[in-house]
Amino acid sequence: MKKVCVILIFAIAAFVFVGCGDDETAVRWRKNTGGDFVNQIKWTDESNVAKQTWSETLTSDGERTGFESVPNKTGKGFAFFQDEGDEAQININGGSGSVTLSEGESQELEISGYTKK
Amino acid sequence: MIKKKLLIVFIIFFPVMLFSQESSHNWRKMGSPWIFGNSKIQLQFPHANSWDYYELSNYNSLISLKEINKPSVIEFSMTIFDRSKSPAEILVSFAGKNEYKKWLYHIYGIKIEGNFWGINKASFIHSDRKNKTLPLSVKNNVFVDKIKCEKISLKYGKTYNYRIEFNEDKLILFIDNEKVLESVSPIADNSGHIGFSARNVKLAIDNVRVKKGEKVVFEDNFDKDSIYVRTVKARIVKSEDEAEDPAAEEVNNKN
Repeated sequence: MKKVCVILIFAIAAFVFVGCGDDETAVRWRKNTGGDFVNQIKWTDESNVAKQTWSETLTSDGERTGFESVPNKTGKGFAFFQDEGDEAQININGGSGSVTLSEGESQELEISGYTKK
Repeated sequence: MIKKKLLIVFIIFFPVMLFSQESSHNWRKMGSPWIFGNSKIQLQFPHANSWDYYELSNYNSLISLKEINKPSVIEFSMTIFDRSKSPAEILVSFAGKNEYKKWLYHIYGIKIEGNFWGINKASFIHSDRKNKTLPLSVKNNVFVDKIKCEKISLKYGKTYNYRIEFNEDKLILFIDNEKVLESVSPIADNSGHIGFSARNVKLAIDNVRVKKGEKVVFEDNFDKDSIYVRTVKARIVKSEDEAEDPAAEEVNNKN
């Protein structure tokens, strides 16, 4: 009986471990904006609450942040640009609203087309 | 011949189009979107994400694109509502001066604060960079000094008319024609950007009017969308596995 219990406990633990292990959605950003430095990037949920922040300063095109997991796959991005001292909304895949990322995948988002005023 | 005419029309109208684009925007925003409707403007979300640079970057902010030259009065109506947590903070800023481009560290303002029960404090504040030898992009290098603070009693959800008067060396705040705060003002020159900011609470704003003497020098009734939203495009490029694949990298670079 004891043996069965131990085996069951191990089996459940293994099941939980495998189930939770590899389904996180991760994002990294690649700068392709021209000259302007990207100081910070935030990923928010649909209520504007920041869920992840990338604080690396991207100074040249092609430079990337590290991968960070995002708890909400549907959300929006915002970036702070050092040259302008201003925030910009990141319109992903042509839209200004929230975007849904592929669940459980590591994705790279390339930012470009920075507008100035 | 037709081509020539088209070219002349384009040359004449292109600067006009550019000018009209420029003049249609009065404000830039930081943080939450603002919703236009019923001839007023209101914040969509109460939560503000701090960038930790200049004070206005820590709020949901609406900042005038142009500097206003020596205003004598700032008038507006404002409703404060949907507090998400305490303290609910509102900042009406003026004399905002950029150190470089949009880096707006130097501001004065009226800060209004509330808690669960209501809006209970109005302060005259000054904010600027703490250490001016550090680069602009250093985080948390900012101070906020309270020059004068008074208790007030306002209700959430009710619209009040606000009037800020700059009278020689004095600053006076009226709410619904009642004087609620008066302070000696250290501002040598009150020219600069004006702004409306909030965190942990929503705002609805209407009838913003700035006067220099009797002359109205800035006005927005929010009949149309007057906010410039800075945007940057992004596209989902590839997954981590593909990124490690040199062939895929090459294809992407070619594109």
